[in-house]
Amino acid sequence: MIKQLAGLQLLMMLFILTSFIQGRLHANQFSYVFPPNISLQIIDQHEESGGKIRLTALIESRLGTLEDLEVFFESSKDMQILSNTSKLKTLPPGAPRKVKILAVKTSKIADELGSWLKMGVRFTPDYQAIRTYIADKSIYPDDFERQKLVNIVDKNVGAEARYLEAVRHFIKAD
Amino acid sequence: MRRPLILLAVVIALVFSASMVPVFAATSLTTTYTVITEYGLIASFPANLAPGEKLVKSGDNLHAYRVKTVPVRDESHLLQLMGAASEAELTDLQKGLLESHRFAVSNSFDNLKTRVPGTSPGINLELVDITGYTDTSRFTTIKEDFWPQNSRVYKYSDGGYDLHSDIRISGTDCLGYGTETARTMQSTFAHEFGHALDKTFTEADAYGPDGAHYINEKIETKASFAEGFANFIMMLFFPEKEPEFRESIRTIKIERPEGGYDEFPIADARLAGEGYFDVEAINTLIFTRLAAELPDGRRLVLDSFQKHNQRDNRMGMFLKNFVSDYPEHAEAAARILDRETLGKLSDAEMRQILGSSRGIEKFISSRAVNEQVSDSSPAENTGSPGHKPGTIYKWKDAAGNWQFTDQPPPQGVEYTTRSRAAEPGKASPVTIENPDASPFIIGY
Repeated sequence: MIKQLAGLQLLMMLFILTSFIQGRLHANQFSYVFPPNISLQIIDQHEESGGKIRLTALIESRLGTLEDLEVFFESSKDMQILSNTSKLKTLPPGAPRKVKILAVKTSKIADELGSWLKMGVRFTPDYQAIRTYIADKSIYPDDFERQKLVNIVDKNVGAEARYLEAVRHFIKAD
Repeated sequence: MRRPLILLAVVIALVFSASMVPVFAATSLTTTYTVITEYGLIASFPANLAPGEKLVKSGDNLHAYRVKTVPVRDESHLLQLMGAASEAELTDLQKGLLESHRFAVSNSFDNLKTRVPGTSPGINLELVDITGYTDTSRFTTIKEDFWPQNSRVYKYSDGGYDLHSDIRISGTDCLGYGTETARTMQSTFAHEFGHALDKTFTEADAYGPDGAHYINEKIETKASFAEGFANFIMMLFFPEKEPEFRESIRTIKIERPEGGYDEFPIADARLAGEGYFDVEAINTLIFTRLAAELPDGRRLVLDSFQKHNQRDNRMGMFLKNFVSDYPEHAEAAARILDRETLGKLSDAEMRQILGSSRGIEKFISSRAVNEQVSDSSPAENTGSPGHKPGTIYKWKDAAGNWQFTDQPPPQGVEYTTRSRAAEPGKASPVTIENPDASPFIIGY
């Protein structure tokens, strides 16, 4: 009898849990997105004496030739990046560029997210390459949804929009 | 045996008190910031993570993202968390996160926040920063792994259970949008906020085998109502999206059980009666037009929705309640319903959906008069090549005025067409409104 009651109460608890959790999330509303223009990676990290950290970043075009690239850096307060902002006129496909980054630890404490370094790249995408890509019906078969992307490209071309992507490298504490 | 029965009674009472009673109070809104700090094979991560950290498994079931979440105090704190000295250094998606936060805490939502069901409901805006993970050729499931959503959970607070919403905004739905990124992310937030107002409990597998939905897809009734309402809330802030919805229903998508979609012109999409409400764009346009065309319509729609909000919401039920709440607007509501379902509902179906009242009967009578006018002067088929009976032609005349005709325009004039609900052998009612005076364009 006691076992039966315990079983029933367990069922009740399960009922409570399932009743109060609205398990059905609303599903994804379909929308196309653009292909990536650029790939940014931190591919190497070396720590040296004197609190120095050397990083190697890789910048690579993913779509067409990117233009007027400005590379800049930021870090948490406990780090200072000694590398300078740099510029690159063009970045064609298949020609990745390595960026060497030197940082040193400061006497300040890290912020609540820990220690991190960030490399940002501001660039003009290859709008013609984007147009060509999104015109591919095998990739974007839905005419209506594809047209929305075309309209967005038109707006960005009209605004001469510059894009900004970044990669943020968190230095492991463990 | 009595204790479990008493417990069962208490549970049922709690469920009903949480889901049925229309109590409303100010909503608390919090913002959290979540950043991906690492990505790798699931096995490579330690079992114990630091406070505030968790692993989010990738859709490939091999990899995971290590993420850290912290509460956001204010805008400058958010900027600092995103690792930028100023807004100029934010990525496009980070700008979208900042603008979404600004939008959410702005007074634009004050009125809507009072309409969230519950005694002390809460909404958390979770801003997910995917900086460094936008290359979908390397992170192939990033879109799905962090797709925007509103997950709703009943939580115990102040002696009762309230529905809390966790709205995730990440920008994975607008990768590469450039200058359009921030506004798109704001509109996504408004849509998800709409779900927070709504108690509809959608059907199992409501969206078809792929789990996704197009705005012009035939899905389940309650799901299309919930999505239509969320779109309506979004459109209160982004009215420029309306033509997109109107344009979308030129064709209706029906998902095949085995995957993939078939597309039909709306007249051929096997929709009938209340079946039109299974398309979320049609739900959206009915809400939007009621709000735009009736005096103080936005308040009326929201009040009626709030008054009758419950887990079995659907458009047919909403309209019946709306007409009952505002009988003085019954005729206008009938006109909007008729137009947004392209005149395909029969008189009986109109009465079934809206109930029978003087306003409804007045509309039905006026519709019959229009039909007689159309029948008495049937359009003469000029025999133009390619002309199909039931086609509406939209074109501009020499004076620049839009014309909607059921015959092709003079030769050489550019036009667009739309099939309308023509019954075989009978001219369909055509209500031509002045599109220049109307806040939206009909007839294309």
